[in-house]
Amino acid sequence: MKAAGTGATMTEVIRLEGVSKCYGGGGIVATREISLVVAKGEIVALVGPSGCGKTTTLRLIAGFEAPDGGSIEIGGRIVANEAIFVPPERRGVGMVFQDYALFPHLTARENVAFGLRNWNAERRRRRIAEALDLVGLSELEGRYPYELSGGQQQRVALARALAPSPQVVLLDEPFSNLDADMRAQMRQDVHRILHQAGTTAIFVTHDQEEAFMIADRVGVLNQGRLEQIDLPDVIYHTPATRFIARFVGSADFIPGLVQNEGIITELGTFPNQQGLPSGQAVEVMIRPDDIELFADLNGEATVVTRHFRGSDNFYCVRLPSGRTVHSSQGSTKVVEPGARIAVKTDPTHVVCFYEDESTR
Amino acid sequence: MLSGIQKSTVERVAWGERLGFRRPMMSPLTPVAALGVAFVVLLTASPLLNLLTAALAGGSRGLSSLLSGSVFTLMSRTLLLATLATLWALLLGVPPAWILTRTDLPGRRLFRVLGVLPLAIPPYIGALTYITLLGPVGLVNKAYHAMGGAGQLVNIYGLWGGVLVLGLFTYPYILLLAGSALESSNPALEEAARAAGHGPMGIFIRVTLPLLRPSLLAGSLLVFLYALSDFAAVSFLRVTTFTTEIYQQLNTRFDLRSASALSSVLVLLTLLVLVAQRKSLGRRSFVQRGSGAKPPTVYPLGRWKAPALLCTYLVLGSSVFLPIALLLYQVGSPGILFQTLASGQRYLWNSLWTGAVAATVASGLALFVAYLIDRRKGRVGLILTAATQLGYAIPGTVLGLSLILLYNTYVPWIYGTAAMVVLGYLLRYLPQAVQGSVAALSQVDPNLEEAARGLGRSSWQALREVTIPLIRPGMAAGWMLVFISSIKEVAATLLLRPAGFDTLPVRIWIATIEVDFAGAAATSLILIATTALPLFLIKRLDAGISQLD
Repeated sequence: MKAAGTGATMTEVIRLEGVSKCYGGGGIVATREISLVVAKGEIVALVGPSGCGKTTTLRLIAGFEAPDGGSIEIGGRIVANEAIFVPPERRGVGMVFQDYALFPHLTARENVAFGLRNWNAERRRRRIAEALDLVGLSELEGRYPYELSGGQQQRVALARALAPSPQVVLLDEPFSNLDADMRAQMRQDVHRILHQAGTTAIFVTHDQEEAFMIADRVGVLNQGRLEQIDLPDVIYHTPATRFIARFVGSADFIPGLVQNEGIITELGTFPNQQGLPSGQAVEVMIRPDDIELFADLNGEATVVTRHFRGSDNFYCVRLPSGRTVHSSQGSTKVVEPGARIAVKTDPTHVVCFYEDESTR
Repeated sequence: MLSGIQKSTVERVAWGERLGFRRPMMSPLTPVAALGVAFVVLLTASPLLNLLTAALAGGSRGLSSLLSGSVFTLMSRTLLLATLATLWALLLGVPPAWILTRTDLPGRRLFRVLGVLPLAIPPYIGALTYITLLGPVGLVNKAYHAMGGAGQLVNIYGLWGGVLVLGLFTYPYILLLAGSALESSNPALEEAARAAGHGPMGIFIRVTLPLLRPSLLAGSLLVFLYALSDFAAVSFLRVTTFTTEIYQQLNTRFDLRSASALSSVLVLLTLLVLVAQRKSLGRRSFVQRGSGAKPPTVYPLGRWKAPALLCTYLVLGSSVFLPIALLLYQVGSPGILFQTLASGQRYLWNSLWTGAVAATVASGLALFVAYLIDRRKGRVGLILTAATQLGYAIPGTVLGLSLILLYNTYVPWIYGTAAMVVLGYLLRYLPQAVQGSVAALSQVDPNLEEAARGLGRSSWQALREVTIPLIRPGMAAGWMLVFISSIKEVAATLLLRPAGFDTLPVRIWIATIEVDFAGAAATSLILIATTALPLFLIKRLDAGISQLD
């Protein structure tokens, strides 16, 4: 595939504008007006709970589904809108399926070669070798899929998707079929392989940790809507919605009141970073790592439970108001349930939500 | 009938996929596909519709002939026969199924292969062999007379003989279904029962048997359906059932109206059973175990080894070895076998080519139908499924009659040619080919075709390069099944063949009617040998399929 596009679209590989998709005669809305731009060489993760529309988004880009509204551009060329629908085989998109979908009647090598049919023999041979080498499977090229382990099958699937040098590679829950230890290894490997190949990639996962580790940018979907797309740390520290706040990590919400000196809460006064109007009632997001605990016989808070999680101790703390919040403390810092404690909160990012709606 | 067993997989997958909406794109039917659907539906549904109209057109006279007492006697006898044969098949099938899957019986693998063999012996040949043994002048009575007995010790003719033979040659359906359910049941369930303090017997009654119930029900319905539709075996054993009565009305009294009225009742009866069967199969899924589960617990037999072996030997012996031995005895010398083969080449050839043509056409139609059924849920799939399942609901005799009625009236130039025989096989066994293809197709992950499309193939290229190579073994197995069933078919063939066009089963029929038991036995051996080879090939193909999986 030749890199298409001119000037402004030079670095833009994928552009979705207001893409909507319904199933069952409009009964089930899979995606609602999703807009998304992915730059060349960028790795974007789409996360969300099951049924949020992330896989549908991927299938819309690949061309396995046709959108009901909006338009999709790949490499500056419109591949789907009200009038145009380019079938998947002419989109120049590589796809790695959740169950890999390797052709069981073909060897690893033949699977990789499948997308190179129209290449001349010499170029094809070289490209197959390159692709297999990239995923480190040159030795196993003669094996059939059933003779390969899960991780090896996934490498073959990745090599097969990368071999025709597609403009973008789409990965659908690529790690969900792997064992935990294999998964950690494959996350690193896939990240390395994608960067090494300089490929633009969009992958879908329900695991926010995975998304943070691999992606340059993370988009969070909820009920078919792309609620926020940004750098991983921005998503974590300044989530746009309560849903995202909870989905990408633990979060408690405590009531606060905006005053001139800041936002006054039970846990202290926080700076008004968002410039909210005075007198506004809000809820402030508190992450477990924002709260420090100190053993203090005169403390007003009490420890409710402690869960030892290996790398940390996870506390549930009851505040004087009866409200409970959670705190993550070092693995050696042990305070037994029932003990009186003092609580100190020092959030680096103060994220407030209005009480009556989900957005800031 | 054998493919009823594959059905379960089909339905299970269908259910799974109905839950999620991850389906490939659904475009409207192309004109060619729509034409194909119309053709298939017309082909399969028209004979039956025509029959029902003909029966109803009989009006009050047809109705009064239906309501006469003799129909009720006929119905109760047919149902009694089918019920008893089913119970007998359960008795024969369940103990070996458990012994062969869950105990350390020596040689159980070999026994499981042999356990399918009775399916290679059509029940009417089974009936012949048991007439040789238990008939009025059979071996047992001869021995009884030689010992000084008077009169008859046993007489196979009649209802009980029918029950004996039908059960003996259909129990493998139950053995196979129960066996695979036992093999795939989750051992953790039995271990849980064991932890709760139950012994092996308690576990069997409280856990294994209830889990087995759906597959036993499915197997029983297969046997029941077979018993309802059987014609040749019950004829040989002189049991009057619906099918023999229809044949009587047609062949001796030339009473088309009574024959179609009786046929309609029988079809309604089988349809009822068929609906029950579909329901029971649909709920079978709870016997499934997750992938990667342990194989089921194997119980050491200990001092029960001898009785278990005896039981297995008895069942297999009386349904495989004894019949073959009796056939060989009846033939007498190898000379007669060769003589029959030499003089009957024409019949063998007739069987082979009609079977092969029917199987090939059925496979082609089946691929088309299966693709639409599997990849296109919804109304078109439902209509096609129902249309191509009709063959199951129509006993051979009824199918023969309805084809005669239809084609004699509307397409007389086909009537009276061998094409009618091929058409009969095609309609009767199309369900087997369709289910073979659907089962194979449902094993192919739709993602594979999408992967191929993502790699630059059109949907037609994806079908040709990925899907068809993957389902080829399943399609070949379907072809073999139709072929085997066709060359064993006798009921419809007798009605549909042009004068002088004899197949192997027709020769067996004629020889038996003419009391030429040696000739019938020789032809039977040739027929069994002809069907055993493809049956063996299917087993090999199955192994091929599971390897690809």
